[in-house]
Formats: sequence, C-alpha cells, structure tokens
Amino acid sequence: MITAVNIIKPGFLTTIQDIPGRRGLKRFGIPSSGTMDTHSAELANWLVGNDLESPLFEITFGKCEFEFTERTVVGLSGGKAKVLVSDESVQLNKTLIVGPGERLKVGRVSKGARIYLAIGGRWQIKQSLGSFSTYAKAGLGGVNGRELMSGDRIEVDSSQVQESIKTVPDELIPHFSRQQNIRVITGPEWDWLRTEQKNVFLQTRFGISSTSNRMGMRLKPENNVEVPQRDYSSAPVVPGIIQLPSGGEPIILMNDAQSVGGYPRILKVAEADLWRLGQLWQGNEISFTLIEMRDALKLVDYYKDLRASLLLK
Amino acid sequence: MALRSLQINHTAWNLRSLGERAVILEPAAGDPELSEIHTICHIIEGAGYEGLTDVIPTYKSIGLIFNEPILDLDEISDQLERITVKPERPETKQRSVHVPVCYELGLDWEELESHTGLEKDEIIRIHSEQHYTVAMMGFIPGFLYLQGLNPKINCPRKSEPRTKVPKGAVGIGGNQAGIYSLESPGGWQIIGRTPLSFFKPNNDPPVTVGLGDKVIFERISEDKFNEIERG
Repeated sequence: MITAVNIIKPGFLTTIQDIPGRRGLKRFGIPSSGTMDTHSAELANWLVGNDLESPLFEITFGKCEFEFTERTVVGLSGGKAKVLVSDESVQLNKTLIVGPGERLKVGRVSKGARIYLAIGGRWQIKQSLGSFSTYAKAGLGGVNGRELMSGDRIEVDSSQVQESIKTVPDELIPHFSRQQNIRVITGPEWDWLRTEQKNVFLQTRFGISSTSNRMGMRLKPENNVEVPQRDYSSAPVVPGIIQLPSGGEPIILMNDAQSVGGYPRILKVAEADLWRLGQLWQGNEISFTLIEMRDALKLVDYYKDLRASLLLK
Repeated sequence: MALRSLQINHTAWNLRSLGERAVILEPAAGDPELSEIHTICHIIEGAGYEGLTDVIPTYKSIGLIFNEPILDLDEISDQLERITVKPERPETKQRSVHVPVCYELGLDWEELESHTGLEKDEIIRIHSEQHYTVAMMGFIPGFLYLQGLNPKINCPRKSEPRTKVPKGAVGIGGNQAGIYSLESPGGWQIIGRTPLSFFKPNNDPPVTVGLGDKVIFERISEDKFNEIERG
C-alpha cells in the first residue's frame, strides 16, 4: 500500500534528511549533510519500525502541517512542541496512528530547535550522490534538492509496516535547558592559545547567533576571546570542529559544513554531544568542558550501548 | 596531542587526530610540494583502504576520514606505510581551463587596494597574468583553491566572514586565489565574478575540473558577464 504525505504547510524550514548523509565526496567539497540531531532522528525512526538510518522530515522551529491519504504509522521526537492530529493533542516520543485524510499539525517549537517526523515504510524518493539528505545549496537530495514547500507530496510504501505502539524510554529523552555544557576534545591548533587564553575560553559562556544554520553555529562570547594571529592555510575539517576566526567569534562546523576550512581548529565537539547542538538556538547559551580523546571514544560506545539496550523491540 | 611518525617515499610524515573518526597526515618538517600531496592522495584513494571514506588534499596536509571511531593511530600509520611502499604512480592528466572574470563585480576593492598599496588596475593586471594550479576543493562544492597568486596581491581574509558571497565570486584569501562555485558564506576578499560554474551535481565526478589542472583568468566586461551567464 502506498501512503502519500501532502505537505500543507512546510513551516519555517522542513527538509528530508537521513543518517549519516553523504560519504566519499569531501574531496569535491560536498558535505555529509544528514540529520542535525541524529539522536532524536533515530528515536523517531525507531517509533515507526524503520531502519534507524532512514530518511525522515527534519522540522526546524515547527509551524507545519501534513496530510496523510491512508492510515499511516508516524513517530515524532526531538524538541518540544504542541502536536495535533485532527485538532486533538498527541504525544511526542510515542508511535501514532494517523487515519486516512487526517492532518498532523506541529506547533512552534518551544524547547529545542528541531523535531523529527518519521513515516513507517519505504520512502519513494530518489537518492542523489548516495543519500536522501537535502543539501539545498547544491540542489541535492530531498524533493528536487530543496526544502519542502506546500503542495509537495511524498509517497511511502507502507505494505511491510507493522502497527506496534512504542514509547521512547525516559532515559533517552533529552532535557533542553537554556544553558548547556558541551564536551570537547582538542583540535590541531589548540596549542596556538596560551594557557591563560585556553582557560579564558573554557570559562567563557557563549550565546548562539541567529545567523547559525546547518553549516555552522556562530557563537557570541560574553567576553571577547583574544585570538593569536599566525599564518594559516586552509586545512581539512569535519563536523564538530570549532574554528576561531581572528574576530574572536567561534564557529562550530555542522553537517552542511565544508571539508576544508581557513580558520584555526582549536577544539572539536565530542561526537557523543554533537547531536545536542542540533537543538540549540538563539537565546541558548553554551560553555565547553575539555575531555581526553580516550574519554570521547568511551562516550561514543557508552551511548551506543545505552541506546541499543533500551531500544530492544 | 597524540602523534605518530611514518615514512612515505623516504620522507618523514606525522599523523595526528582530527576528532574521533579522522586524522591529518602532514610532513614532519617543512612544507610539502603540492604535487606530492596530490600523488599521495591518488595512491591512498587507489589502495582500497577498508573503512576509509574520504581523502581530503590541502596545501600542507591530507585529511583522512574513516567510517568508525579510531581506536589506534598506530594501526593507521602501519597501514599507510604498507600501501605507500610500492606505490604505482597514477597517471594524471592536466588540462588548461580558461576562466572569464568580471573585475567590476568585485566587492572588496577598497580593502584590496589599501592592503596591497596598489591600484585596482595594477591588481587586475597581476591577478590575470598569472597561471594557477587547482590545488584542492572543499570549502563548498566545487570551490577551487588555486595556487600561484603573486605575493604582491596577497590579502588577509576578512576578520568577519560574509554571510553571503555570490556564486562565481573570485577571491583572494591570504596567499591563495579561489573561485566560489555556489553562493555561500565566506571570508575571502572578492576581486571579481565569473559566469562559469564548475559544479555539476548530475555528473560523475560532480566537479568538472580536476586537481592539478591549470587555470587562466581572462578579464571580461559586465556586459559580457551577463551574456555568458544568460547562456
């Protein structure tokens, strides 16, 4: 059976993303893209019984509306927002069954920044360069390589879907506090900073600029961070790298970021905390805690095992 | 920071981490030749290294990205030594690419003039008489980093990057020249614009020029720019 999802209102920004996005194209400058908050995206896919890496809707700030032509299994996870199905309030982080012709409305995201909407079944859309993820800047993935617009229609083959109602265990539901501490490891140019500058950086609270996007999060330090000036030629970067331009306002590279960057790579967000950044926005504040690489690697395993043990069918 | 030394072509290289799943390979001393960087990248890409997803050449180092977290740098260092011991030198074809530029569409002439101490026409003359080599890509899809800028017109990047640089912008960033193939944020000083695009997402490979290709800039008028852009 084919279910069609009609996009009635796309909201501020809704795109199709998958996990982990594109691989093997960085030498051409093509970023990985993929879900910003991969943790929540996996939970949404889990709720509907899809492979955790499957494409789904990444809804930024909410205010969107979808209509389903058939009985459909859907799952929502991520930031907090009021969600209505046929004008009745429903829960996030729990499998929902939406009837034929019913509409699902996602209100303004009040905590966090993004909500993931998964639809049970195989999405009938095409990959571009190996992924379904939308990278609008280069017209790749999603629907015609762009963000969703009203009138778009996505077909999903739901013939293999089982209607089992699941609830995300509390342990896996993140808290979205306004102030967050993010764990980081050292980057290649960390030692360009003097000990005193390092200490200042690690004690500084940073606001998040409204010019942040899927490419990078621009940070506004509460006190100006002094930047050592040295010759620097563009070098390889990966998502999570914290660049420090000479203006003193750091940029955290995210999923749509370049593969080569021209500013010193002072730190890198620990992979285990990278998804948290996908839920931060203007008005939030972050600070950093430096950890060792071996601890960063342990955290990757820890969360992987935790998810695996709690998400048993 | 953890560091490993290894030998490639009788030269000492260092390997260090760039996060949980990536490493940087760079010469232990001095700056590498661009052609050496390109050759090593070709060898590693051609070796079928399992778990390695991306090889990123840059001026002074090579980035290697892996599928899984890296638990042991030694293992990677050994593997790299193994695959580069008897490298088959891949043949590389170099082409010349003529790139029309409208310098009237530059955005940073004031900064360029005051930093170089030269007048606009002189900067244009110097910029367009050089031949450049495609050194790497990577800032955005198809962004071309070009080696061969005359040091007289070096100019540091902007301290506050622009949130929007137009597609086709031709820029100067420190001692590098470059071309933005797509609209993007960016911190380079913009000297002009080309109506050409080097990024073709439906092609394989998706970028129409290759590493090592020669680039020659040709000055065009604004009218000519509009004519070519309209196609």
